[in-house]
Formats: sequence, C-alpha cells, structure tokens
Amino acid sequence: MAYTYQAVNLTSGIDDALISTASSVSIFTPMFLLFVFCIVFLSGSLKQKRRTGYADIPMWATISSLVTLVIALPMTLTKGLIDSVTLGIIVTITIASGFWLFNDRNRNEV
Amino acid sequence: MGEIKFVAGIVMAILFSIAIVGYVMNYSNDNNSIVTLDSNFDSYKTNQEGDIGSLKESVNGSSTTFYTNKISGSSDTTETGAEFKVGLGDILSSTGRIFSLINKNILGGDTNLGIFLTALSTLMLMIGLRYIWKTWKGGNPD
Repeated sequence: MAYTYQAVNLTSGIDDALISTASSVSIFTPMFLLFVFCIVFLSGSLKQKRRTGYADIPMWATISSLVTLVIALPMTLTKGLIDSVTLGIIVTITIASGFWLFNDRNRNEV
Repeated sequence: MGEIKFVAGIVMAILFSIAIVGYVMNYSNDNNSIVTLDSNFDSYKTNQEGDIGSLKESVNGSSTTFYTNKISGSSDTTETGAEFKVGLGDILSSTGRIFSLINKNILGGDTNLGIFLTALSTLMLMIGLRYIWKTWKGGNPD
C-alpha cells in the first residue's frame, strides 16, 4: 500500500521528528513561539480587564515576550530548531516591550 | 510628562535591554549553543553601557558646576542658594558607600552588574539636583 507521505525516521529518537518538521516547514518554530506569546498576552490582558476593568497592555506585552524568550533559548541548543533571525526578533520585541512599559508608568508605579 | 519621569523611564529601558542582551549572550556562551544572536547585537551592549557611563560623567560634571552657580537674588530667593544646596552633597558620599558595599558583597564586585548601581546613583543625583533647583528658583521638573 503506498503511503501519501514519508514516515519519519525515529531510530535516533523523537528529537529528529521535531527537527525534520521544523526543517520542512520553516514557519513551524515562529508559529509555535507566536502561539505562546499570544496565549499569555491575550489570556492575561482579557482576564485582567474582566476582573478589574483595566488591562495593563505594556505589562502583558513584556511578560509574554519574556516567556517567549525563555522558551526560545533552549531551542538554540539544538541545530535546526530555530534560526538567529527569529531569536533576534524575539530579543528585540522583548526590549521594545520593556521600553514601552517603563515609559508608560506613573511616577509612583513600577 | 515631567522631565524626571521621562529620563528615568528611558534609563530603565536601557538597563532592561542591557540585562536581556547580556542574559542571552551569556546563555549562548555557557551552553555552547548552535544559534547565537546575529552581529547587530555584538556591539549593542557595549555601546549602551558606554552611554550610561557618559551619562554618569556628565551628571557628575554638571553637579560640580551647579554647586558654584549663582543667580540674581530677589525677594523670593537667594543668590547662591547655599541654604538649599546643603544636605545633598554631604549624604552623597554615604550613599555611594552603600552602593559599593552592595556591589562587593551581594553582586560579587562584578563590573557587569555594577552598571545598574551606577545608573541608579546617577539618576538619584540628577533628580536631587532638579529638586534643589525647584526649591531654589522655582520651576517644576516633575
């Protein structure tokens, strides 16, 4: 029976399945990291808006970009999972969110 | 938005970016990672630390001239403002000693971490000078 796709070679472990997925679909890792970012950002800000009536968007942008950065960093240890352009974009978005956060605060806030 | 809030916000953002880039670079070096930050970030951290250092130098320089400056006296204020300048200069060296103690015993005397205490003490001096000016002459730096 002919298969319509080529089965993944799992003899050296499940890492290879992830790396071969990332190399055949180049948007896979950025898509996953964007998912992590959006989950933290949207769920946190919407929940805060529902509870307190006010959503602190710069703070949620900073928190979600820090979470994305911490998840992306161990991905740099394996060849083929993430590329340096994506890592550079994540670091830049983190710095930009921090810039927004610190300029949005009142004198008495952090 | 007041001047102090504006400058403090930007200094905090610079320190945050130094911390993030330093963390990622040291993580890559410690773990021999395959993927590192590209060449745009190589000189970024060094340049930002250099800017904080030159901020410190210019605030220190302006504080020295501030203490010797005079304005024309009037019924509202005095000419040299010495009555208002007293206090801050004396406690500054004590505050500096607190920071160097924190740096040596908690941060391990590391020059990379010392940048944060340098920026904090520079900001405190700048804000203190602004408030002395506010009392002496009027004007609102907030």
